[in-house]
Amino acid sequence: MPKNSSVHRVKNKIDKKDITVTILFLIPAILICAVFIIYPVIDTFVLSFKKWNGMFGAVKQWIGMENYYKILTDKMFWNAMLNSVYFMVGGFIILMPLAFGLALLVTSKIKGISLFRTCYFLPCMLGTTAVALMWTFILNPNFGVFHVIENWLGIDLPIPDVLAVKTLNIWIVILVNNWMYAGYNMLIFAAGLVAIPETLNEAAALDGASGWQRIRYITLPLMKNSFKVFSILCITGCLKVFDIIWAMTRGGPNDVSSTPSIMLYTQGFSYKFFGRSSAYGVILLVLGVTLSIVTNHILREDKDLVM
Amino acid sequence: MTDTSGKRNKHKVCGSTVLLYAGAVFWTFMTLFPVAVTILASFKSKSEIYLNLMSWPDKFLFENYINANQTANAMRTITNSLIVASLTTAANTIIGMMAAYSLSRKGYRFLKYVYIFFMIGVMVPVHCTLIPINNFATALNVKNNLLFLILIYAAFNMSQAIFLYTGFMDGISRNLDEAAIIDGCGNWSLLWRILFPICKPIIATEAIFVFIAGYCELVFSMIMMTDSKYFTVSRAMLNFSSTHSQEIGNQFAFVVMSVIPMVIIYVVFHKQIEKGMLSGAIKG
Amino acid sequence: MKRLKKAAAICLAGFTALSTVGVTGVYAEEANYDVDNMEFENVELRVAFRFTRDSEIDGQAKWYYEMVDQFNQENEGRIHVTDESISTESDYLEKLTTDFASGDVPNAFVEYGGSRVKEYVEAGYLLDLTSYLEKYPDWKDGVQEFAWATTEFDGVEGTYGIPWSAYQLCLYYNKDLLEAAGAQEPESWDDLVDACGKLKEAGIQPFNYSDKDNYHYEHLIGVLALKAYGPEIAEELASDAESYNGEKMVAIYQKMKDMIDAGYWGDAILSTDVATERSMFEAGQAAFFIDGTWNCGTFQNGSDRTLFDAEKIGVTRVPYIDEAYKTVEMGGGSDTYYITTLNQSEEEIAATVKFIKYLTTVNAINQMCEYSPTTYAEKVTIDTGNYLLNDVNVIMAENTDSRLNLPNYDTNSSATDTIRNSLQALATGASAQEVGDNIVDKMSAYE
Repeated sequence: MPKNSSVHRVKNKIDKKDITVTILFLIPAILICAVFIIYPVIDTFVLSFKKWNGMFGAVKQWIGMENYYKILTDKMFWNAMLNSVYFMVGGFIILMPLAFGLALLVTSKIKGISLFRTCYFLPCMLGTTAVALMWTFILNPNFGVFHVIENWLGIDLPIPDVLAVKTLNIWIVILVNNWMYAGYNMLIFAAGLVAIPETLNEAAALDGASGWQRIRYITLPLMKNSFKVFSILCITGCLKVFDIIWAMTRGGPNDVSSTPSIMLYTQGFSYKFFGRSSAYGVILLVLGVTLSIVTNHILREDKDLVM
Repeated sequence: MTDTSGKRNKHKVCGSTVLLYAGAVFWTFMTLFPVAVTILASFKSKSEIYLNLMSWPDKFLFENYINANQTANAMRTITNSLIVASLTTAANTIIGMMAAYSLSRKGYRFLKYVYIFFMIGVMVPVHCTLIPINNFATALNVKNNLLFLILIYAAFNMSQAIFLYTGFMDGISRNLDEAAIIDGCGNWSLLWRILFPICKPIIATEAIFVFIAGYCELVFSMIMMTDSKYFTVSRAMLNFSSTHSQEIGNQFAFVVMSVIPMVIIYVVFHKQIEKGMLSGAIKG
Repeated sequence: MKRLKKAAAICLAGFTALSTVGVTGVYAEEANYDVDNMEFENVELRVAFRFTRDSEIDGQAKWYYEMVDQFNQENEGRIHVTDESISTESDYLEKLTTDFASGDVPNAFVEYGGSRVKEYVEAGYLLDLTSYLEKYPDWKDGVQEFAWATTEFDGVEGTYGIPWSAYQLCLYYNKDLLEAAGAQEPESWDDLVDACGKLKEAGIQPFNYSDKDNYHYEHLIGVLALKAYGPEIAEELASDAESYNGEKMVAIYQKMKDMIDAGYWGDAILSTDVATERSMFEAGQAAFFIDGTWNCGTFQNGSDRTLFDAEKIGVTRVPYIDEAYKTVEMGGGSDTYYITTLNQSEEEIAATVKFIKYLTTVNAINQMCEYSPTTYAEKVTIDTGNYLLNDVNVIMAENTDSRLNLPNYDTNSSATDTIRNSLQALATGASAQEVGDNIVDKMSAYE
């Protein structure tokens, strides 16, 4: 695949018109990102070295690295980081195979595929609030699915309150999150799958390669870009996950299912430590950008990693 | 490869087809089951839900839908959400494609930094931006302004769009560009006439995501839109909880109502998405 | 409308026009607190409360929106009020916090006193209503004495709000279920434990005492501490004479833990919210329900009224631990309107006072009580015929003393949230001492 555009670029003098067009095309995106993303980021960065109780006009007192020190020595932060790591692990060992499998399904030649595809995408269309509402009700020990199953079986054992047990609750939220986004990531993989020339697969089939062999030796290597896209979206998404946890457990009980984003929110909006909250933001941002760059580097197109 | 007989091969294909179907049906059940529970619950009274979520309704309470329609002002909020989501998607696609074109097709050195600039946006936690953006909105007096809300949504989805579009465009052969340029295509028509159709699969993927994000977003719509005329679906969802009680049957009814337009849109554009995906085969 | 003091009013209008961004006190000499007789011209007000628009079940909201429309009609061309209510607590507070951080605040908002409001008062962003209340003694006298606690703050002079609802914690019970198990209305905590045992034996779930809405257990430790150690415990905790991990408080957590361990409080403590808990109580899924007096109205306005209509709900005091403090209760003013001065003009502030006064006269609250019979901060004079409310009124009349919930007295502004979060650990198997230590640890981290 031809990749680096500089190779192809005509090496004459820089065309003035060309650079103008390049910039003109970039301007709308740069403008809105600068206003809504970069300006708040700078604001957050500065605030992360200060102490502010969120009151308009109140002095924002410079306290240096204290916010960072407080966060990094807080065991709640490390617990929250651990939960984020769980989210990532869940993303790679559950969501990725699941979404890839679904993508194989919906790009295969079986009948009724458009119906299946719509069904798989349905959870994603519901939106986080509805999904969380639905699953917290389904998992409720008093009237949810476990209760019904016990009724069918005619047994009466105490039903665990799965959203209240440390570690278990975060994994339940991860499963719900993966359930919701499997359909979306399926689309990312499917877009990569259909781009693989049919002839390659046919040739391999004629050579007698089994379905599994074809996936392993033809599909996976050609899908590297899709896996890269998935990895970066998954890492950044898992680091900043907020909505689904907030809606299902509020980071509780007693903060055990918090992630850094939840901590960022409660530090700022409940406890009014906006400086510390901003420091959380900066930590998340640095971590996310670093991890994305590293992932991008590891999964470079010219490096063969899959096998 | 090994000399597997044709017969054995055929048998194997059959086996894997059964497996495929089994998998397909299993996940269909997994996705439909909670949705089915929600639909059932949307016809039940509060006490029926709290007694047994999964039971068949004693009597189908269609008034849940009537109440939901009234409490959430369903027609208006769904329309608002649809408008916001469509315009966000359009803005996001157009602006994102233009930026991706520059990033992917031009070789200037500074573009690498521009790309990193955009990538920061993938990682920004929403709640950090809330107060700065609210300050900004106050200064410009643009609260209750749909356009401003749409720009916010477009910005927050821009990084991901640019990331996906640039990645996809990088994979499209440049021979195509050169042929087009020889035919007299300028940048503008190269982007929209030649590259745009090829990028359809990734655009469809991203557009669906942006649409859903715009349709369901709560935080900014709550902070920026204070006039009930402009309420969106997720903002209206809050109306089902009052200080001391919650009308859960009605809320489930509204969940169902608010998802219906999305499903319709998905089904309508489904063909387009598939077409787009097939044309993606040119890539590579 | 009254136009007696037209000349004075025109004069005032002139002043206010001059001082578009004026702050209270700038025109102190000309200050006029007679808001009902002022002239206003096209004043736009935004108010942010927690009412639910178009709700079938929220009687208070129904009344409120009618009042807003009526007020806007009566003051057409002079004052126009736009409501920006958000009913869900965390979303509401998120918006309020954001607005206060940006300086673009609503003219009035609702809160519940305590340290969160104190921050606004100390920043000087809330209106001291003292002079207005002096101008309108009837307005002031309409409010019950105990309810003012949400508007007064240690170390700050003045009255910074108007409370409109009042509450205290009560024990509601299902008469049929108690009878079926042969249990009595409990008076002491031991009675309650006995009754729970009997219910459990009869196969009836005593409570679904939930804590997903984590105010619920924090309210309970408050009332139990008051009923075990008397009203002084509130001040002792605030002044650090007593500690949240001291022997006294740990004994309270232990009582709660015993109930949880015995299974009396149900299996789904942390995944059930109060609305669900109430609905399950209404559906006969639990025999007891401990919550505020506002439930008198909520039961009557709810969609599942079978139990209420059959008069099968009973109400009594939360059981005492030490009989000496049987009539000491947790409660007081609750929902309170506060008026902001941050970036508001004199005219806007005066207009807001007029609107808030419109909502909180005894007559207005009488009407609200008809829409939603519950306990109010004002001296309601009507009989709503709600049997629960009548019982509650009898109970409240016999109170000897009352306090707000404990964290309200704490100087640490994070007290409420830390206590609420830590208490959730009771349901996850933490010991009483661990919970106490956790509260103290966290509070020191946010000092």
